[in-house]
Amino acid sequence: MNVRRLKSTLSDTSVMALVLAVALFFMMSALRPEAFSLTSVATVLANSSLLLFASTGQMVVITSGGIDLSTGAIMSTTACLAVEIMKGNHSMLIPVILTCMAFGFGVGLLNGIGVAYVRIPALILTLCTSTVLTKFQPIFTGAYPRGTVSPQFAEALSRRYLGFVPGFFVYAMAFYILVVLFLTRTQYGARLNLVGTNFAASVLSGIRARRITMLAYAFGGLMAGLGGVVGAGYFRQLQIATFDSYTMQSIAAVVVGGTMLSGGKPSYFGTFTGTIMLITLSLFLSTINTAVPIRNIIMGAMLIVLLIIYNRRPAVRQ
Amino acid sequence: MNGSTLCLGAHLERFKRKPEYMGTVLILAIVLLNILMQGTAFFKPETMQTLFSTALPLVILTMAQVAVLISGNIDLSTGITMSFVNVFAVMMPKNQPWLPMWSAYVIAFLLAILVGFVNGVLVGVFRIPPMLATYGMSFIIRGVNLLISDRPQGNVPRELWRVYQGNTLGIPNSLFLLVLLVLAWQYIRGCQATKEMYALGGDEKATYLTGISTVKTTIRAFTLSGFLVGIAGLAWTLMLASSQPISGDVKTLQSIAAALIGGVLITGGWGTMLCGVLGAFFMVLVNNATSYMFTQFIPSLIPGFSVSTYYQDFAGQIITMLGIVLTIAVSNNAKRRVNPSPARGRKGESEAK
Repeated sequence: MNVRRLKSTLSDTSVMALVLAVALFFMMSALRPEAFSLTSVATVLANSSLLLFASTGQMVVITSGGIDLSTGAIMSTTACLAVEIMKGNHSMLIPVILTCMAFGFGVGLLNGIGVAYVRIPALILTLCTSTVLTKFQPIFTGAYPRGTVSPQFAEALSRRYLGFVPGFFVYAMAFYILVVLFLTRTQYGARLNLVGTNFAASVLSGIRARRITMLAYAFGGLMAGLGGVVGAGYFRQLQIATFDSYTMQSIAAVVVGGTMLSGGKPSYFGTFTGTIMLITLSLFLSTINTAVPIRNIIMGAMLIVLLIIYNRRPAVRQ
Repeated sequence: MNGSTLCLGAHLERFKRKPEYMGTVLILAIVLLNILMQGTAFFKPETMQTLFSTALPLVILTMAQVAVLISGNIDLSTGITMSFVNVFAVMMPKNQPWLPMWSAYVIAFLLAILVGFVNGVLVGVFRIPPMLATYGMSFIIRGVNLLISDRPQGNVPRELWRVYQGNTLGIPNSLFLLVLLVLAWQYIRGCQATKEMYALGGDEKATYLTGISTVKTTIRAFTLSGFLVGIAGLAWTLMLASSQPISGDVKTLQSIAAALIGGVLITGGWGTMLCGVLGAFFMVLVNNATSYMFTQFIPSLIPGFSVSTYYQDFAGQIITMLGIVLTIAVSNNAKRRVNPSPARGRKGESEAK
């Protein structure tokens, strides 16, 4: 009985991602004893928080059977928007957050309309959106963003509770749990699952599948828009396209966590553990002082190995 | 394409159903726009020479992407592999003096084919989603590139790049290379192996059921892509005349966009190398046209007009996006008209892409 339970735990991708993350953390501590501290735990949690915003949105889109390559670009754009509007003025916080969420939602909605109704492949449309947004940023910021977020907002994000839980992480977790509850408890979530699993069947069962798909993109955009604001608050120093790398990282986090790229059946817990795992891996590589080229090679190789173990497509004959 | 005048209408009707239709229309439109703005200056040998020699790496890279797209896959590592060929060929003879220069070029080319092959194995044998497998690969290659050389440096012998960037009888030398590649494709297009690639992209399950090895076909498509990436890398090297470790990475997404503008469908099984060539030239010419428009044409109409280059990029990007959306709509339509039944039955599946 126990052996069987152990076996099923080992084949559960989401748990394995967490186990790997912990293992990596201890390996890092073994190699660099000074890295074994609450500070490095806090670093992992804080860095995971931003990725968690991106990958939660990404998870919703991937569940619908699509993919969103504009996540990073939306984040970068709203980060620029946030600092440009805020300019250090704390009273603007709520309007800024709302504006950025609306902006992300709007961009996501356009993606959704294009994918669901005009039937442009998601990969292409969101790729185009992302390049257009990247070219858009220098126009409204004038080459590079000059403003900052308010010091109170930045402080709230980097404050440490219990010595090692960053405020940023608390907010990220709160949103993550809200989204998971939304996806598991509401009708929309159940429908989204069906649409992703089998589009034709969902249409036949009377679901407005196209609308559901469209909303999934809009929702992904909204999460990315929010991620951009908090990212701006946490990192403070911004450039054009600061968060562009989060697109691929978010996809990797979702997939490493066990959600299939083919749509349907999201692994909610896996998205969280996958995020932690990716961030721990990058912290591990930077702590043991590997040079950037080696770090790239290990990142790529790890991604491929993890995919081979956990996220293979079914063979054609099945 | 240009048959006898009697049945021109029928020819046109048939051409409309070809994958190249939209790409041809778009490229004619953009060439026309360029001619309208620049006049005959557009056809000067120097202009043509610069245009072709700078565009060629992207064009060949797009052809490499087309080979993979036809088989229903995607390759995100092409651009960085192109840079890898560049860095290896230029820097290895400097780092390892025993290595003769010509052999570095040959080895770099062969390694690009190997990268394509490994991608094919990862996707075909291990069944990793192609987008993520090649994304992981692009990280590895980026690391290798930076190991060989961490900054732009080195130089290519003058005799070599002078040939590439030169003219013969007023025709750019780089154009000859392109024509050669397109002719080679026209030759292999009818082969059994190529047809299997189309079949795989069109319907994986049906292909498997007819007894074709889907694994071998996937590997073949990626290897062909690697071969073309190798050539693109050599052209890139001759164009840059130096080595740049990671600058080729941005070309990956450009080449995918170019292939789609040319009329290749990302769902697979539709499109030819010519589509890729047309699409890539469209991208290059759009940039050419927008930069000319913003720096010379509009200021000549409205004195004192000047905006930052950001607007120029933005406008170019919007035109590209519109081109893609238009082409996809038309290609979807054309594909449905050519083979109506299977496409309709599997609506849900094709949307999952």
